[in-house]
Amino acid sequence: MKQAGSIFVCALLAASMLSAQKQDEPREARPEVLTPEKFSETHGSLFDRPKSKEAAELTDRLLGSEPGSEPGRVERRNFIDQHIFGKMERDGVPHAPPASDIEFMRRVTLDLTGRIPARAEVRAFLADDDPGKRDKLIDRLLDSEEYVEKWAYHFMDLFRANGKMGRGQHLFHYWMKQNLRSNRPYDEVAYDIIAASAKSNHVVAASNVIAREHIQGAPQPKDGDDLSMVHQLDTHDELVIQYAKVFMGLNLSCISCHDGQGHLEQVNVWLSTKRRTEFFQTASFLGRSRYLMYFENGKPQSGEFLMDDGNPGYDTEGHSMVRVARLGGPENPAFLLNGEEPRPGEEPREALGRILTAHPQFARGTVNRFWAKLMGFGIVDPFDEFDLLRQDPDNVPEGWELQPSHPELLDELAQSFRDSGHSIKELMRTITRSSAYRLSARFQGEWKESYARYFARKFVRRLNAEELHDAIALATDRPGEFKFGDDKVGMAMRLSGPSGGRDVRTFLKTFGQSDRNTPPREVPGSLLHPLALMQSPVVTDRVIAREDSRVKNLLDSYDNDRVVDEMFMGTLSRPPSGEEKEIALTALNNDRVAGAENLQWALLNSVEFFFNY
Amino acid sequence: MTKPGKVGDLPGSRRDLLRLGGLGLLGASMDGVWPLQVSAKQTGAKVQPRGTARNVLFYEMSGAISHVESYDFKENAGSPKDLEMTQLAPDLHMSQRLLPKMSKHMDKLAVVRSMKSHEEVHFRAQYYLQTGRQMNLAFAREIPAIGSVIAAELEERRRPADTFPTYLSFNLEKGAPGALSTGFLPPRFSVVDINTEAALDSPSFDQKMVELLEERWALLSKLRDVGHKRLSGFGRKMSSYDDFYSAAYSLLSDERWPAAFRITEEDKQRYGTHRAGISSILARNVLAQDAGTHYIHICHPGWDHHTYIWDHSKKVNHYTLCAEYDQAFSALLEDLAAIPSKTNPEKTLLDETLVVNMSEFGRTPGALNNMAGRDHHNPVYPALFAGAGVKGGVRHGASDAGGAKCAETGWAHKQQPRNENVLATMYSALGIDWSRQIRNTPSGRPYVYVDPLGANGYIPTDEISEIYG
Repeated sequence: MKQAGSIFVCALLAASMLSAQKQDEPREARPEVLTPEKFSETHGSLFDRPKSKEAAELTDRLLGSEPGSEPGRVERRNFIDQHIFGKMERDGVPHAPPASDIEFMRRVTLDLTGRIPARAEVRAFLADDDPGKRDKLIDRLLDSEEYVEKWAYHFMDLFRANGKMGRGQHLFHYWMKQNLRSNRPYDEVAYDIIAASAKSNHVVAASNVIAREHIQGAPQPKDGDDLSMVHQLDTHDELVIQYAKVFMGLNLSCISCHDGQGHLEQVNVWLSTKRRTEFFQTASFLGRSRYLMYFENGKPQSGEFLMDDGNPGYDTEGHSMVRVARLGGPENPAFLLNGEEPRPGEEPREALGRILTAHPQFARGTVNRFWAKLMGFGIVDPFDEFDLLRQDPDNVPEGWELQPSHPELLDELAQSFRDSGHSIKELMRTITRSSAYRLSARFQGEWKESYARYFARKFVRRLNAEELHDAIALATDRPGEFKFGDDKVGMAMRLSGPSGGRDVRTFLKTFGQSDRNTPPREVPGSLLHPLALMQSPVVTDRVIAREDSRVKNLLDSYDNDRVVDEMFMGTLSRPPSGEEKEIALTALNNDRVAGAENLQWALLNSVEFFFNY
Repeated sequence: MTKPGKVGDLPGSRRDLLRLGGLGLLGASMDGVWPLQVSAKQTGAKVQPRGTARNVLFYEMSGAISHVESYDFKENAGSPKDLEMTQLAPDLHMSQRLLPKMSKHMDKLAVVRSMKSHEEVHFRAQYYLQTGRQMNLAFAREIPAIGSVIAAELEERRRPADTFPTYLSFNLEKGAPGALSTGFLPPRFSVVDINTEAALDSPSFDQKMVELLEERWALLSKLRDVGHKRLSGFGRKMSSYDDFYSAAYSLLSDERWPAAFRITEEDKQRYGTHRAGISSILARNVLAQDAGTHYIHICHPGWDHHTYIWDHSKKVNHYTLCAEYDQAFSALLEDLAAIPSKTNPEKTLLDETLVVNMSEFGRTPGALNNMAGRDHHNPVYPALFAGAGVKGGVRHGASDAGGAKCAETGWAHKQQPRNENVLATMYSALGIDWSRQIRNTPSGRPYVYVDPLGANGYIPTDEISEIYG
């Protein structure tokens, strides 16, 4: 078996998956037993042209083109599976079959690192006959620098890290990468952000979230220490809204202006019980925080601030620039979720950091967010709109449904996150190790929207803008030319923020790159996507067979047959099916160079290329 | 990354087709429900769609224009002295400093001065403009933009030669909520939001490029055909791209698409090269091509003058934005009124297009705030209507002496008209029965075209028929 090489394991696995399908499903003829010898005899290597129709069919099989459904057959790999498959079993909901190695390899590489796998990596993975190879792959990806880059970019989007931080933007990026690389406990990261003090945010990385969220007061400074340059009170409010959203999945915007009562009964039961004065009391933790904008020669210095604790305290009657007038209320700090107050002698801002990160909602909000990133949507969905009065299965408000689809799973995920020392890596490892994550995205039979909340299949997602750019660059071996300080950077995911020339910017925006002014938005499918992929120079420049391009290198190195295989493998991370290969070969045989360019273009324009499935 | 002298590269000019901006949407789009289960009428509704328009053009002054210094002028402590006010009619004073060109087009416009919004912050108020209803976070994900509902309604009317998307917008991405999604409707009814900065260089048509595209398209189609079975298992999120690809290819091979993006020097002179100007030129071009687009939303952002509204040292102020708007919108009305309809030579484009022009609300009248600006004001503000049989030169409703509250609604109801009624007016003009509702939404909550449930009780769902005189 070992000598027989890589593909057998994979082919056998695929075959065994297929034969385990329910018998009552109508299926086309398929070989009962697929031996390595037989496969080798008919097929040679995966990267040779199929020698027979049967071999072509085997390749199709390998690609998993005929999934089935087999509830109850999936291995329960950890507690996630107990909850997910247990519930489906109880409710008689069918689910998709397990994903093939090829599907899993590409999926997890994109999810954890934002890159498509290299050809050699795919081959090595398929060749590996270690039954634990998927877990091994996850470990390798989580330890890679690409993991650091992808999730640093994610956090930069989340905190809308942009020019409002001035030069602090790059520092903050560097710090987030360090945190991710060393897998720093996430509660410490959050605490640092909340409790940061700094002579300058250009020196203290964690203070840049405060710099980002500041509300500008006066347009011009009056004197040396003009506090009115930053609207102190409004900035406190903005920060509380941001912390609640990012760290706890709560949307406090509404109660920052008015009581929930009489407004939010139809929207969020918990918020409808919350008063604006309670919001103020949470903002009061920041009341002593002082934000001083640096300026020189009568002009504000772009994005440089001092943050310390020099203010007298929150003023619940203070003027607001961005909200309806403040109408008073208690000014002692008390945490919105449980009324907890600072300990005697404790700095209020540090108290907020301590109380917030120790509150169960910190872990619940965080695990739900990352679950949504890896599984398609949250256990509570939208993932940043928790209703805290709809979390307890034994106590659901009348006329409402329980908010989480799997309340016990959410609890257990949050508990395991805390037990792991708030380890983001462990959280991702736990999720990606589950069989739930490893279901196929292909569902055979009639899909019902009601199955979605069961996570009865893997949900496809379109690559985000940066992933897509980088996938195109990797598939064609032509990196981008982003300016990054004095360096040139080839991958969009390595940057601190949106960058690049006009064509690239337009392309990235079309696919939903965040401008970091508005909150990140999910861009739905659009006609503009094919318009961009078919014609943007980001694609068309890269398919040309010129020096140093993948297309030219392949043409110079291999015969047409191999060129087609390599191009499929390098772009779609899979070999071509028999039919695809025939079509591609015909194009190359007609006109070698143009055919190869056109094939590369067509592969970049195939829907599966810009989806993670 | 573009360098000259590349082998086999596409001609540069063709690239510009692609420089069409991004979409921004609220929430994730769903797979989409289809076919729709539509109930003809809500109980008790009496609705007779007019069908006087083939198109609706909605021009939004996003951020909110100060109404007391535009279409509902009031003497007040916060207005500067240099507005050069002229009385054009007993109830119409126009600033020759701010809106000199529009002053000449008031005969085309019906001004409803009694509008009211449920909302007073931009995000929610602009959402309300785009969807015709208040935002409810519990359902926001399934609520489609008005333009997408219109696209679904008009799908049956699409002719085989129509290649342009039914719903087109300009710079909606610059607004607070971005361009909203199709909600529960299938993605093919999505807006195509065009970024004017990207569209500025007008593309030209090139035979070599078309041939190359055809050749590549043929290969892609063959691969798609054999891969179709495999892809279909992944669900509609992926398979809807089959539709998008076909639509994109039809557009790229339709000469009318690049033609619509051709901007002449004369156009630039007349309309201006700012966002308002380019959006208006392109909107005119797209309507003139008559290639399938029937709902256009222009977003002209920047009017949120909380500070220094009259300060010439600020890059953007009421003077500068009025200058852009006055130039662009007047030229647009002028051209629409001059270009003959493609379907009826007796008519002009304006005759078959309902033009609506408004903000999400007004601005606080009277003295300026302590930052020399004006804040949000939703109790009363104007909306303008033209074309499609609207009787111009008339004002309906009135605000009080200071422009702070409604003095007279100017229509058949005691309540002030709202976005719901503007929406009913647009549906009516397009011949769409706005009393309809769609039952098979994902939440199970019927989607009513015009929602009678306002913030504080039931509101009329009628159109504003007074504008037809």
